[in-house]
Amino acid sequence: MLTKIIRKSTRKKRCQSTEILSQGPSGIPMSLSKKLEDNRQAILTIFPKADDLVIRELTIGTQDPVQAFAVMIFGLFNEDSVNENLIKPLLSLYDNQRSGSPLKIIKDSILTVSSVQEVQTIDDAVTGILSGDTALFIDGADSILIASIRGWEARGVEEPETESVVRGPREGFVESLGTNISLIRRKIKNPNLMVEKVTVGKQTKTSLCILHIHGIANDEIVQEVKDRIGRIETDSVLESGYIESFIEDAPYSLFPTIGNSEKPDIVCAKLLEGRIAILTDGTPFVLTVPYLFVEAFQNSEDYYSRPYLATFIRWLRWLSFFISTFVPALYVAITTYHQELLPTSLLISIASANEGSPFPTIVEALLMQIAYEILREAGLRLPKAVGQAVSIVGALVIGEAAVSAGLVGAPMVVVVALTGISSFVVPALTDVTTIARFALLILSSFAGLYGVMLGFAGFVIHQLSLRSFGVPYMSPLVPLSGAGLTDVIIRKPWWAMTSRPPVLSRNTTRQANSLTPRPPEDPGTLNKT
Amino acid sequence: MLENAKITPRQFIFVLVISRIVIAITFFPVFAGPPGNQDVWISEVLSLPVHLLLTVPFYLLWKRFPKQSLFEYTQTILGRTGKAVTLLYVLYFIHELSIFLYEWCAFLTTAIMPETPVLFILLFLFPFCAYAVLKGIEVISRFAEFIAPLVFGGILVIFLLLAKDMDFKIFTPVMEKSMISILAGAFVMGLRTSEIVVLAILLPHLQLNSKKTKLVLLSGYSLIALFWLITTISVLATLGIEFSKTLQFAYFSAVRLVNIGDFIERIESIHLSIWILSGYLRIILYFYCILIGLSQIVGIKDYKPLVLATLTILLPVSLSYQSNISDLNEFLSYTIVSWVNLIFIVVIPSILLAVAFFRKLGETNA
Repeated sequence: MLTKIIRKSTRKKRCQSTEILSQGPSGIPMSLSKKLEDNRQAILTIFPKADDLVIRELTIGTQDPVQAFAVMIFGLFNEDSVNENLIKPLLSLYDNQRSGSPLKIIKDSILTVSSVQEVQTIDDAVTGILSGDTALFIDGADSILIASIRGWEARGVEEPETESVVRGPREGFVESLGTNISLIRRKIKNPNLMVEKVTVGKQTKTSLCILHIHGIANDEIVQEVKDRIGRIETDSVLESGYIESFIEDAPYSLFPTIGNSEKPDIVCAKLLEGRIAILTDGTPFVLTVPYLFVEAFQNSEDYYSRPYLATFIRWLRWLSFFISTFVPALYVAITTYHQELLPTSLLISIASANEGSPFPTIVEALLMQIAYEILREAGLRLPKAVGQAVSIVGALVIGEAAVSAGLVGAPMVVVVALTGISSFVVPALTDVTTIARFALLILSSFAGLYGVMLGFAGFVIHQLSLRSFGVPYMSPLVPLSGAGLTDVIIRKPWWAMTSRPPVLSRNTTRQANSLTPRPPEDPGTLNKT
Repeated sequence: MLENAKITPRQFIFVLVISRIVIAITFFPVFAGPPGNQDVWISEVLSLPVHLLLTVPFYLLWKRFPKQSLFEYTQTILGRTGKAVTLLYVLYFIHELSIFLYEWCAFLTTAIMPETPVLFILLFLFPFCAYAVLKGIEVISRFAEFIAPLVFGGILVIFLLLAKDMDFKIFTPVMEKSMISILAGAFVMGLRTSEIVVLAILLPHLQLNSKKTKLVLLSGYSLIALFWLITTISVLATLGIEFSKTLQFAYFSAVRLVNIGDFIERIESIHLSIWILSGYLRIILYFYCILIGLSQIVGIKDYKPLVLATLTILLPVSLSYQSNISDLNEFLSYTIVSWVNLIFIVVIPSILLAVAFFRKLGETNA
């Protein structure tokens, strides 16, 4: 009974905060009035206390002057451009000898601004003002002019720290949606690149753009993406991670079913394979959908270098993933339950190293793994000056001292170090490997190799049941698709990649079949010496 | 069929083949029946036509009712009494599953974890089984496709690694006993295949025409025969006949013998991992069949509420099978189990087929 009353009262308060912005004190949305003074009062009421709001009164024209005022928010508009292209033409070029209403003359002939719109309600004008546009209210007009002259301080295009490459472009996305779209447009010059804008978030009114290439991407998946984004009704969207958590297929799963990237060349490559990209204003991380498990092992650098090393590095990535997930659990299982599986000499050295250690292996393993995670997380937040010294302290002093003090065995330190280093080879799956590693450690402490294998089977069953927007998560491994496997197990050279992954796109022909590069029949014709 | 799942032909083949191979790499039961000597490999090759012959009743039933699994067409054909037949088959599956759980626990407690009580092994297994079964048959068949390269590759690698220890003279004299004895052995080996009944339940999910289905079945059985042949050769040629007959886990002991240059040794962990994964597949497959049958009898559309109840039944049943091993071994000797399997694989489906024929039920292609 009591909880019901509390819930009712908080519900009313919650509703009030999400009502539309432009409501007067009586709660009725304000409509545009023909009298300028009413409009100014309306603006001052909608913004109860906004000291950064700039209202510039204008008297336009010399014969029968027209009153007007421009509203903008300081810091969001480009001052020079507003002065040159909005205020200067209004004050000097207005000529009421032209035909039409003042608003029409101003919009069509006076304002030297590339993007001018007319809106009918104060609500829309306020939305525009808050986004950085300049709103022009004219006395006696029945609509408001919105001039898009935005300008604010933003980060420049630079190499992203998390995805640095040796060979390849070093551009990274920035926080501004327009710049990000331009980075993609410069790479894909196809009019079929569809850009659809959506606004989500009641308080933040964040703009999203959904990009896909019509004719390559699967239309049903595009529709599904739009439906899911349309269903989002939340207060704020500050990062693409918010969108990701609202539209993902398996919210309770450990595995990510939506990919993200900070680099335009990666996103463009995915768009060209038939995926859909979701750009969010305010963050450089772009979501790509659908996302398959094997994509975590593919890196853009593979595609810019020759296939042999790229294939080898790919195998190394798979190996590192398995090492970082299974080695601690296998070590604990074998040294605790199945010592007979080790070769004799290895068994003797491990046994002697573990001789003085007071804890059972599983406790040692858990302690060292937790210590490693603490070190890693702290290393992310350390100021750069202190970072080097502290990491040396961590590695040498703690590891070395712990071993000589007899707290942990030396093989354990080797296992933890190997695990830690391997976990960075596949950065997209770091959270998966960390959680899976702990789960498998605990299972192995209960039931040895039996527990590890059953845990592995359990994880595999879970992964096999996932779908990312309709596409099975483990394709092209299961269901086996030969054409898809050539990009997973090996890295086929570009002249041989004649088709797109059939699981993502119905338009699978990418290029002709006979593009193998070869020298001319008679090489002497090129080198006439 | 209960779910709307679709199994690709490759997944279907792998499901059957892997759940059959796991028997070969556990107990190696080839000596349980005739001919009982080095000619077992001929029996295994001949078990391919025997398998095909034994599948005929279920295949014809499938052709009549292409969209219904075994549990559904018993009811279509026999009406309410069909539920009794369904119950018989469910009991048969529980029986088969309990026998395999006995083999599972026996192997684990003998080979790798001697101090673990059987109850713990089963209780630890059940949550994973429940989770896999709750995901449905599509995920189970994808799991089979996933582990197939590991299992097949593992068996082939072990065969190659044992090659230097093999003595092929063990197979002479060929055809020491008469052909009749060898044929009888082929029949006995074919009759042990309870996967034929599982097939009857999975066929409607395959959704292929009859010509392709025949091809799928043929390739499945050939793979089974091939891998049984490989394991038999691995064991017989390495260990000899007497040891193969008397050792409890012949294949495991053969794997232990691998020693290449003192470097590649103790590879039983490979055998162990592929054995656990394939045994797990067999367990979840049979568990799924039990659940489908039970949900058919009870009359509910979704088998998910029955999982916990079935596990509760399975635990004491499988433990009771393990309490009396000599009785179990006597049952598993070829005389008794052949007749039991004959009833379920040939007799009952033939009766169903006859009734369907006379009552003119199901699709008959002109």
